[in-house]
Amino acid sequence: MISILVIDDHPLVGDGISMMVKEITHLQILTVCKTGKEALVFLEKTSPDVILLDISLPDIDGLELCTLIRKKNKQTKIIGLTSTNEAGIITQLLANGGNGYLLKNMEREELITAIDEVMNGRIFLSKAANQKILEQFHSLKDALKNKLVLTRREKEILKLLYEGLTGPQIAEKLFLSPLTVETHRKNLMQKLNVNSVQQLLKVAGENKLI
Amino acid sequence: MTHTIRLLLLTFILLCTVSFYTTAQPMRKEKMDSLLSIIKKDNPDSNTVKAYTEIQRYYFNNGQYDSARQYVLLSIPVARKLNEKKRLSRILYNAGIIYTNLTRYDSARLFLDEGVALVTETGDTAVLVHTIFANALLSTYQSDYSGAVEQLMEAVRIIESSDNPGIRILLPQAYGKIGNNLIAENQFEKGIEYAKKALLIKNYPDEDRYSVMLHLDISDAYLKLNNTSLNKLHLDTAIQLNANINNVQVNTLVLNSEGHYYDIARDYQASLKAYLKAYAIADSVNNEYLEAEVGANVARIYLKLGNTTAAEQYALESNTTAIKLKQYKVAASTYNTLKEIAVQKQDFRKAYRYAELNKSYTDSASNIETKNNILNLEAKYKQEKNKKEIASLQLSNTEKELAVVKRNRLLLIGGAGSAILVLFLGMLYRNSRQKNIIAEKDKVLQEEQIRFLERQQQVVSLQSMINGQETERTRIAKDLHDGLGGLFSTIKMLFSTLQHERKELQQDPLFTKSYEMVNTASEEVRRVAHNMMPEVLIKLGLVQATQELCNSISAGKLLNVSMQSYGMDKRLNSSTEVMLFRIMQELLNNIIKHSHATEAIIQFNRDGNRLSVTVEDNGRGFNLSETDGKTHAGLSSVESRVSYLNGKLSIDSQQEIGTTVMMDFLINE
Repeated sequence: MISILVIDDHPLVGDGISMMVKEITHLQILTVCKTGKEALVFLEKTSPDVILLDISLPDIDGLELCTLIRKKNKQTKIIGLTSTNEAGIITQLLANGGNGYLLKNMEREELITAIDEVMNGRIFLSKAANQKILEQFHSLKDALKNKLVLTRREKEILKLLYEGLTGPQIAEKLFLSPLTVETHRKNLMQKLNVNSVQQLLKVAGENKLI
Repeated sequence: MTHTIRLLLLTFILLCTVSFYTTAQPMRKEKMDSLLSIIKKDNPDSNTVKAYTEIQRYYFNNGQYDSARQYVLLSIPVARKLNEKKRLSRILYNAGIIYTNLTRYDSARLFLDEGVALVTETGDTAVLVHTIFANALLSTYQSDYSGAVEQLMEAVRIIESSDNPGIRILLPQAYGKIGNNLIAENQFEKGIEYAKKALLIKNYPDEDRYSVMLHLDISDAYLKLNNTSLNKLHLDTAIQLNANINNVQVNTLVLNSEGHYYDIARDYQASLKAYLKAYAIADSVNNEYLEAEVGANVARIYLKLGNTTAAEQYALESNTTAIKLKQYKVAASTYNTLKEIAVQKQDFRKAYRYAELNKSYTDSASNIETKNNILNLEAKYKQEKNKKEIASLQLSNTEKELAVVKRNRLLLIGGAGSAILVLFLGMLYRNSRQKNIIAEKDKVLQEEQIRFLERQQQVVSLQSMINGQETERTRIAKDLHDGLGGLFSTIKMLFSTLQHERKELQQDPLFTKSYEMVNTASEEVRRVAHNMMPEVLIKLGLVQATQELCNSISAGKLLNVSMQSYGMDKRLNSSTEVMLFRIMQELLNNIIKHSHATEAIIQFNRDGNRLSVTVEDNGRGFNLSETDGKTHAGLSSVESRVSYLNGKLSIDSQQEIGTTVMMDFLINE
């Protein structure tokens, strides 16, 4: 027997879930909590096998609640339940100790698979969520390569600084306001983590940016 | 009680304004006599008008408002007759502040409105800004704080577009006043932001005195936010700064705030000490307004300390003054104290009478506020009328254009007639050309009027629009997610269960179609809610949300957007984040729609208080001067959002190379 706690403030979603699993004898819905506080009180005494957790609750933020539950209870499997499909939210939920992620408009089979998977110690992500994670992965890949990307304007300004021009001279040459050039220069220094123009040119040279 | 303190601060700021403008100096008797003899001359000239203004200022600075008023009334017809517009505008300004101090707000408004109209004609920016300041103050007195903020924003716009250092130095005042009004309107954080902005500006006359008041405002706001440590910090700074300038009026305000602080902290002895000191100073300079306010506070604290005799004495005294000066809130407070005293003395008959009086004065105070709400409604109605006026002007404009076209056509047909007719028509044509020229001029004038009205309208509506829009979006997105989204999800769950229980339904096209459509509907709800307000923006912040936006655009393969962020570990305040996210959306949208770019970069650089955001693409670029108006509607909304955040926007675009948009912001925390 797998015991399940549903945490969702929508008056119908809990019913829908109960309906979906009512025929499956080894799944038992303990109760439906409408707020984070109610859930925390319930969890003081009871320790369900699986928690289906809506991440937007009226009182406590769902992502935070996930951390709170995980802190107290290492065994319970937590599956996030949302109506949004945003990669940042999904990865944050997993980082906060979640075991899986389902979109609320799931099919019956998907819910049952998800519960099985997390009970077997695996991570479950809904199909649509997978796609989003993949998109994020592509951008993470670039970030992991740790490659510094300069904007076109930054490259131009770096080159002119290298040629020995001053800020106002660069501004005149590129038809920009001196203030804009100054900001670009400050940004460059922050990106290369240096404090002076000399250092900037040196580090830029070392990194073959000029 | 803090409300009245704020009003006092404002009175004081008003005094500052006047002293900026007139450099108040003690006037000798001989000087006064000579001024009086000038105005008595038979043939008034510009010197007469000048003398009048000086006399008005003298009486105003001395607090003799009724005398000042007499001379205003005498001088207006003279200035009008001599057509001395510049001086008349100053007189109107004087009239505005004099009537304000006489609590005759309606008359004050009339004078100031006329002043604004006149100054717009003469182009005397200094007087314009001061007149707007006075107008805003009037709004504040009438509890129309948002109206005051709107006017002050207009003043900020005028100050910022001026190169004159004499006008630029008014900027801290404008910011400070905005902060003050926002705080009065319970928008504490925003108000603090503006007051702090004013504090950042250095080196202007009277900076010390003004800084003290700004710190007092900020500490007041923190008190309301229950942040006692920051409240104390700013109060202490105010006290420290005040030690250098030692201005008696400011001293009173500082001590009053200090008393209030200790009152909240329940250190009644310290509170009493501060209030008593404040009272002694107010008494020594004969400032009744302050005396009543502080006296009420002293009475309150004596009562808390159990000294009913002293409490009663101060309460009665302050009560008399407050009623004389129409300080209804102070009067109500004193009646409350008197009632408590009577209860302690077990004189219930008296207590009952005081309670009744307290109620009626609380009512009059709030009645004024209700009345102001009605006035607000009226202002909105006027705004509506403005809109209509624009529309009807536009209409008559088009009609005129049509008439011109018609006439030209008629001329063409006539041109095919006989030679005599040609000659005749030639004359007619000349005639009509003259008419055309006049019509043309008319048109230009009218267009100018339209533009002016439109700008006015924009300033008024932009603020409220941007503010309201995002709150509304958040609310709708949440309703969609939680309500409709949940409902659709549940329907789908039920369908899914039904399909499982009755396997034959899978063959029923009606069922499978319905199932599919419910699915589409629920995805649609999610999409709409997401576009309205992405959850990741609220929960995880700007950088994550922008990253996700870039990801989903890049996934479409048409445009590859990369994002980099430096120094963005700490989140910004949420309304700033939403605003910046909207800017990113608009800019990316523009790139996709117009630029034909294949690559774009978004970059956030934050270093301390400085935040710079760069958005660059490799598209075909555009010529900024050619695209004012319609083609880049997206840019104008970016502009207004950037200026809402008080940022600087710079766009540099090179044809066939790309466009770099850079925005600089100062982040206040």
